[in-house]
Amino acid sequence: MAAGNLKSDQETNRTAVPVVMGGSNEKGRVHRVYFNHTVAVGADVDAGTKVDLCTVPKGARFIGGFWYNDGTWANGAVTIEIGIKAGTPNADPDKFAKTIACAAENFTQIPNTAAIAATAIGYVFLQDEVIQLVTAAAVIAAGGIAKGWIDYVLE
Amino acid sequence: MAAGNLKSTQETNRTAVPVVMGGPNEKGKLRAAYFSGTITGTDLDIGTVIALVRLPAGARVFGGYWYNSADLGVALTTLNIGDATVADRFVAVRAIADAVDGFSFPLDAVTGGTGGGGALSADTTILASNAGGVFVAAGTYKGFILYVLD
Repeated sequence: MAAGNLKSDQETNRTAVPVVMGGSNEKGRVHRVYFNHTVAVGADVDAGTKVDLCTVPKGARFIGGFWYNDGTWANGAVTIEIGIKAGTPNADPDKFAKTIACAAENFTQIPNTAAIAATAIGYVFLQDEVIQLVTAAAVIAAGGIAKGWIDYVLE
Repeated sequence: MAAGNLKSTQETNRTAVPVVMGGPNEKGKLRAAYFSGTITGTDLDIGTVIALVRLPAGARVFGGYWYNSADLGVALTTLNIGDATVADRFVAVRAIADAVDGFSFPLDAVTGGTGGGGALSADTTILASNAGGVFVAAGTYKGFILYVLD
């Protein structure tokens, strides 16, 4: 064996003759959609609570994001998943993050594991999709604040 | 001595009289260049290079994200990401071994210094290479490079 000179799919396409044009969501502006949420007094907050965070347009390519919650938001051993909204055609509750521990003030990159990155990074949305979190293990607390963002490339 | 009030180069320029205009790649649209691929071939020894993406002259690079499947490497495989001039400009000897890995970069102060916010003087291909171990055919990778151009 010797050392090789390889190319990504994108470099293979760029150097082909004739050139194979890449998708508009492969090299372009990064769009950031911001979300925030305060848990309302009297809201249903048991484990399994869902929060719609933001909407990403059809054709966008997912490249990441961040999640923040304050110390009030999760007053117990709450964990969250972040994915595509339940009940929609492409529903996938842990598409972008899984088992983020939110018991204390917390700032976590999305995707939060390499295993999630395997399917999340570069994912192209098949339709306008609502990004939704689902809680597990404990209740969230009234007055708690969460916020974050999702990054994608569209054109 | 007393406490000072200092300015970055950009704030010095912004508040100068007359104003000194900053470069278009200092304050502008953040762009991402996505890459993906599957390792092919049999020549995959140390020093194997993967051309990831081509970026235009003037682009100011701020890092990116790398993911690889577990079968991309072997126990000794380490990864550099850089360019033809500095092979480890953005990532230096990251142990990816034979496990799934995914991480944002730059990862440390050294590569933050060499790769965080540098402007490209010419059209440049961003390269990944194995600094140790071998790559393995059928292993997959993907990620993106972040940059500002205008």
